Amino acid sequence: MTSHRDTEAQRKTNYLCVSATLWLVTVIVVAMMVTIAAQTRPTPQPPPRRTAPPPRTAPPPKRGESQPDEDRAPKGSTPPQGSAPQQQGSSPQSAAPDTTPAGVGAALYKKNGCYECHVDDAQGGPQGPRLGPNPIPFARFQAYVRNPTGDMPPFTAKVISDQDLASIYAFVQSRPMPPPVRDIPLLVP
Amino acid sequence: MARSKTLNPKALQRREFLQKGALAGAAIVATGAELSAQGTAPASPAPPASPAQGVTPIMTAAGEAIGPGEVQVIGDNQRSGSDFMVDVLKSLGFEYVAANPGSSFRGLHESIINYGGNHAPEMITCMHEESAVAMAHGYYKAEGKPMLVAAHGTVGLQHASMALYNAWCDRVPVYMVIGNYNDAAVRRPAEWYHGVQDAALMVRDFTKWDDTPWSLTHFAESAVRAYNVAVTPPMAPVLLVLDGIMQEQGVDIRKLPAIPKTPIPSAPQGDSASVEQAARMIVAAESPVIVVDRLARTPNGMKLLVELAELVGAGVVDQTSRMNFPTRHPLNQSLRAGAAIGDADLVVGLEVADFWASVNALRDQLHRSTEPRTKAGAKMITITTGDLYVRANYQDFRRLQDVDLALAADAEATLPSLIEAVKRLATADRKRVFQERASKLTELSRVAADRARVNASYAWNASPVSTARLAAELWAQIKNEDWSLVSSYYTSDLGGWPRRLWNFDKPYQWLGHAGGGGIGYGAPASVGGALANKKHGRLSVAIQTDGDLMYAPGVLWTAAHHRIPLLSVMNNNRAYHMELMHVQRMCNARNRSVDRGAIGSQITDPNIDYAKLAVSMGVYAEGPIDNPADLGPALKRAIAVVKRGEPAVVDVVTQVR
Repeated sequence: MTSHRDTEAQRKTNYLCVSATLWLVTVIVVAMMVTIAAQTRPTPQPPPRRTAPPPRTAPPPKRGESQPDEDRAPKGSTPPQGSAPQQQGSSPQSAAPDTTPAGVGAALYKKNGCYECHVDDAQGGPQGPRLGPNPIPFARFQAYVRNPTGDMPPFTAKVISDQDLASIYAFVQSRPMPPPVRDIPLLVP
Repeated sequence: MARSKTLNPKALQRREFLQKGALAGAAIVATGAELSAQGTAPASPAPPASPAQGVTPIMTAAGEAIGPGEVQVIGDNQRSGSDFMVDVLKSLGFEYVAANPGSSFRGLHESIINYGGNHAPEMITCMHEESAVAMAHGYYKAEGKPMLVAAHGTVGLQHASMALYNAWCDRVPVYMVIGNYNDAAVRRPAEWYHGVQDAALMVRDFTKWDDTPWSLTHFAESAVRAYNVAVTPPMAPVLLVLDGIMQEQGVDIRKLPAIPKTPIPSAPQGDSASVEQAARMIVAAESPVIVVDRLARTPNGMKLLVELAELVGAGVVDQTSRMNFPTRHPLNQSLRAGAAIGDADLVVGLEVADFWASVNALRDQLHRSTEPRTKAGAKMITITTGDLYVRANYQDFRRLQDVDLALAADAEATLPSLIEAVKRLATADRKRVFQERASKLTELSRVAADRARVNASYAWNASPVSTARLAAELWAQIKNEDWSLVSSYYTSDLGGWPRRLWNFDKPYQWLGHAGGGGIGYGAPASVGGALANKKHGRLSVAIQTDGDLMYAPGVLWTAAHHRIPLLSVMNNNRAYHMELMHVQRMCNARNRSVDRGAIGSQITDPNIDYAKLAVSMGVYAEGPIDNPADLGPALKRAIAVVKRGEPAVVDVVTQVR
């Protein structure tokens, strides 16, 4: 028969053994996690994008804008407007939301489906012309969005407020200029 | 009277044999004892069919009581009906037969692979009937002759119908055969679901001709007729319904019918008076523009169009349903199509599917409106076989445009006489005008091309990859090869970037679009085009959209299985963006927020891993690639695989357009 004291001593011994084992396991797990973390590569980032400011002004979209007609490309040049910061892309990469006008505009540009026709970086495509960099003056921009004359659907102030439209404009305005074609070997004829 | 519980063991064996479908000619077998027990015994037992005679029992009550012979095989002096069908099909020059197997054409299937040696036509195993037809669609546009398609009756044809509709809208000949057990008395149980009174009915609105031959003589004539009907402009798919029993029955070799040798009819040309009038209008015009869509049905079509355009210094706007005109030809005004048509005092439409939309614009707003693209007083000429072939139900004929002269004729066939007439009418003064005009157009096209390159530079380093960057990277890898862009479906040609940046100057370098707007064409058509290009040693390239591939991705397996060299570069933008845009347009029209417009159109959560999908079917693959700097090396590795004779997929995550 086992005495009460013996039992208590055995329990204590068992407790100590269990505690030691748990401690050892914890140390091993922590060490493994540190090792794995050290070996894990950082999340790949997209390549850097253009940084130069634009020297162009886009005309308002014309009727028949859905045709892939190079004649609709913007002409003329004016200094870049606004002072929105340059973006690395249309989608912010950092976890923290970009609260600059262009950053807010980037999210609104996506949310409101502008990218569907004018493409992710506002560079334009077969369904809609390029918007930026260096867009048309804001007043014309706003007027066209509210009352488009071509195939573009109208966006009322109920759908996009004036303030949101200004943010989208800031995003469009912040689009960096591409490198000159002569510096892109793949585009040299 | 109670049914006898004691059945003859031999009768049971026979029943099992029949239930397994080993004998198509007799559906019900009962022993005399059993029938006597039910009071339905025949007056006198009929003798078993003689295998030497190869006679299929006549379906009378007495005939149905006949058991199978000990041996039922085709006699030495006989040939199966489907063997003869293969003889006829071989005479038509088919290289391949694309098929998903089906029991209603099992006789033909066996004849192709054994009697025909699985060569000309060679069986191409497809995972879906729609893929088989779309493969034939793409094959035709690369090779210039039809591919045979075989399909199961009813269910197979239902699967195939969408692709048939695309081919019909695109005026491409697809030669299709299906099986059907016309005689209800001999159908196995499953054949009742597939048996049909009028098998071709469901696709008759969008096939040019069909027939259900009732004898081998009938088959031979209809098979040759179907081929000629299909390839005579206006071209379109044809369908033959092959009776199952006729395929399987034996026929005395000495009684086989002859195979007709009727030549293919020539294409309809414009009458001489109309051609002369068209030539006068072209010579007199100050700013003519030639709009082409499905003009070049042979390699000669491009040569003729170049000759006409250069002869009169006219700009050409290519709507690209065929490879009509070199992209870098100085008279190619496609990059400034709106301006070229708007400036024209004469618009000449050559095989333009939608001439009305070429000279008018429709505004897709809540209240739709239209306006002309042309200036007031502009004259118009059309030459098209579309005027020879208008059906009632499906509305592919489009709006009726007022024109000054319409020739119901094949434009390519008419061009030689039109060119000769223009040569006769062109005076020295007019020739000087033509030259000056050509110089101006050359400068305009150069400016447009420069502008296209500038436009391509925007978002050059963006991630996801811009579609312009994808096109440029691909061009860099293939431009020194003998390449062929084998398929594309509207936006899957990257919004036209290849035609803006690449030098297309050979007839096989561009195969056009789906025709009817049915998604799911691109992947199988590219495999069909690549199959045609294989023997020519061309590097086949497809720009493959994600939504299109997912309709029937099994065609990747077909490419791997048959060693069809094809580079498929995914334009993976993870949504049905055209449809998304339509929903957004409805949000706008109803003054509602558009931020939910993507519901129902996006292909995300989870993202599809197309490289793994391809690898699972034995196809070399890389991706997903969203860094443009990684694209060139990946394409180079994939092209090395394709040059070894195998398919490869490079999954590129792209911007929306």
